[in-house]
Amino acid sequence: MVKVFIDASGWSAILDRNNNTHLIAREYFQQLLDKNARIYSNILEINLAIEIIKKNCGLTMATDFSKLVEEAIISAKMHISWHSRRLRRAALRQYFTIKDQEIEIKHCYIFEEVRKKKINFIFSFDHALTKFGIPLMPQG
Amino acid sequence: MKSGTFIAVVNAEGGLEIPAEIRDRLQLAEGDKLEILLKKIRSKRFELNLRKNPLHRLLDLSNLKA
Repeated sequence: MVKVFIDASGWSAILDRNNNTHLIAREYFQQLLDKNARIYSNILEINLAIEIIKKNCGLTMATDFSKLVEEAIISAKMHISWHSRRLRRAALRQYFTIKDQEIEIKHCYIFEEVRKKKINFIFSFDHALTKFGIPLMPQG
Repeated sequence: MKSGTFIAVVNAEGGLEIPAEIRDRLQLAEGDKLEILLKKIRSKRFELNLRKNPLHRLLDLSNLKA
């Protein structure tokens, strides 16, 4: 089963019709669901996505997104990381090691989770993540 | 598929009905023996496991609210 991590840019692209990657994101997300891909994210990325969606699409959509995520977590259709101390230590170690200015702490959290859970690729439009050598989807 | 999980409601006679989908997928016929594990639930939480992945509704959401 394919494991995919979706970050804030991925979630917001799926929902925001004014986002120029919306159509490709939506189509790819549909394919993932059809294939029963195992969806991962973390609480930081979900919260960032809620902020972006509220700003770009309004409060109602942000609230609906939040509720659907809760429902998906409860029904085990989505796996969320709540950030343990161990994960934070690993992410910060990574962050202090990397010299690239484009890499933020949130990227290091994603990298550590992807590595730890052996996730196949990241659903994201944040090209800073390519610096970790993890495949980003959708492409094009 | 050899087993199935579903939510059943006890009727007035104390009986349980097996949904048609479960009957079909398990290819149940008259006389077949079944092992039954009963668990009384109060929460609706378990019903969620039988529904379609709620993430599908994200796609509807982006259509509706645009």
